[in-house]
Amino acid sequence: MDEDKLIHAARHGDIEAFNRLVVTYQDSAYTVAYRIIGEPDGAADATQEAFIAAYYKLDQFQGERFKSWLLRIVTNACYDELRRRKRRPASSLDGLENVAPQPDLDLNPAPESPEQHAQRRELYQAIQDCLNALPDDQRVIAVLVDVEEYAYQEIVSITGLPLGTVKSRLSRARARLRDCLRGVRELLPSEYRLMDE
Amino acid sequence: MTPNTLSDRDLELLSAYLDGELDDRERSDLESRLAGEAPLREALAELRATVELVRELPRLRAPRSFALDPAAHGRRTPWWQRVLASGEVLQLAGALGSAAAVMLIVGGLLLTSADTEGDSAVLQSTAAALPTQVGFVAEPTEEPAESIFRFEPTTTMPAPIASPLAGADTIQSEDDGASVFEGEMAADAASGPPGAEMAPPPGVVETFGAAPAEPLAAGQAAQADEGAPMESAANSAAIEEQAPAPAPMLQAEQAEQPAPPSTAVIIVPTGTATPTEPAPTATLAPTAVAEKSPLDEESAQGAAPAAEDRADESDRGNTWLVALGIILLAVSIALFVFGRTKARRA
Repeated sequence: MDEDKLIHAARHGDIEAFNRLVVTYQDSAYTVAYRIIGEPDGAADATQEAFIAAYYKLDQFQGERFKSWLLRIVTNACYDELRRRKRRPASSLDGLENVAPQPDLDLNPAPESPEQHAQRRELYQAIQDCLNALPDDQRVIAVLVDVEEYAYQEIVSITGLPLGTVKSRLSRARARLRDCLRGVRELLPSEYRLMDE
Repeated sequence: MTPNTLSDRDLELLSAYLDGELDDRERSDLESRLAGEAPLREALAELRATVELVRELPRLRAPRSFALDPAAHGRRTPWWQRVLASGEVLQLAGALGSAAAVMLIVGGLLLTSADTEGDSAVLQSTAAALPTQVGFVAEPTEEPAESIFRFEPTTTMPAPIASPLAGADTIQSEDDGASVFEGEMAADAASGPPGAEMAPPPGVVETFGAAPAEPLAAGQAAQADEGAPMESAANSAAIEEQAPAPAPMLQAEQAEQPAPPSTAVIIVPTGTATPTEPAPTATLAPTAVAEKSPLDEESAQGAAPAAEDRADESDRGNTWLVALGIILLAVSIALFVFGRTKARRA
């Protein structure tokens, strides 16, 4: 069954049809949530909240691209989660004990040694830390553009921000990421170490 | 200029250039600058490396299934059921309903009071068509006047004088905008026992001269019918000279003084206190009345009931309005309390 039929069935209360959409998009949704929140449990909570909200808001879906519509809800759920964490700072300490989520192994088919694997994990964590250091509004844009590789107009659609705001926030986020990654130069692959020389 | 000292605008252009989001003119302008400015080229290389590094981040696998539990969520409910299930919406509806109910109640009460005033005016104008009826039917009655003015029932008050005065004063008071109670009291008088008409002692009638009073009564009735209250008052003064009895004195004082509406109420029963009216006058007064009776019948029997009907219909409508408001208020308060309880539980 194609996506439109699943959406149509879910709109009429078919929760199984909606769950098939969930299975299709849950990795993307969770990835965005994790990159924005930077912590596995919070990302899982935000993702779950987003799917529940999407199910009950299906009447508002206007036939646009479903993934964009879903990620808009995920982004809002992430904002809610971040606000919740700022109100309860102690809960953010839980994230230090969490292990970073497993990457999708299908995207890394090349075999690597345990040392290489550890270095790669360390690099990912360093990049994630730089993302986490960004202000929330800049981080959301950076994740949507540089992680999910959305076009600017899609970002406008997802966030509801003007195009100029998206551009300026993205350029500031990239400048900060550049400066941050210079600090972890020793973790970067050799081709990237050249960029500050 | 170093890559770190680029302006925000240049950084924005480079960022958009990397993503292919510049239009043709901006892109050609930037490319010409890139060809001549080394720091700009360096900045572009750094940005490109940063973006590629971030894009190295892997797509993550969801740690668990986020599929919704059919038992917990089931079928999606229609929007109106979701609205009803929302405590906040119910509270808002209750508050709005209460406000509307209060407006209904206040509006109904205001309309009722306005109608009452309007009905008074209508009945007042209707009563203006009843002077002869008052004069005619008032004759049999005597007790109310006595009870109000403490007249002695067996007084030697000259009936021929009292009767025309009653008619004149009644008309005058009606012209002044007298109270509606005139009509009511006239009706009471009409329903009184005809036998209450007391035959005057012959001596009394002779003493005060019934004969001069007859043309006066007829003339006053005619003047009054033409709407000349001042002349009626003058006639009252003339009568007073002829009959210096206590009761005519009182009537003359009332006629001379511009009487407020409440005074008119007093005067009408005075007219009804004509127990000693002699037979000749009694035959004259109905005659004078009979000449005007067709018009009076139309106005008295047609306008007054119609006005009362309109007033009754209006009252019923306003009562329904107030009742509706009270019911709405009760329902709205219940809705508000229910919504508040629901919201607290949520």
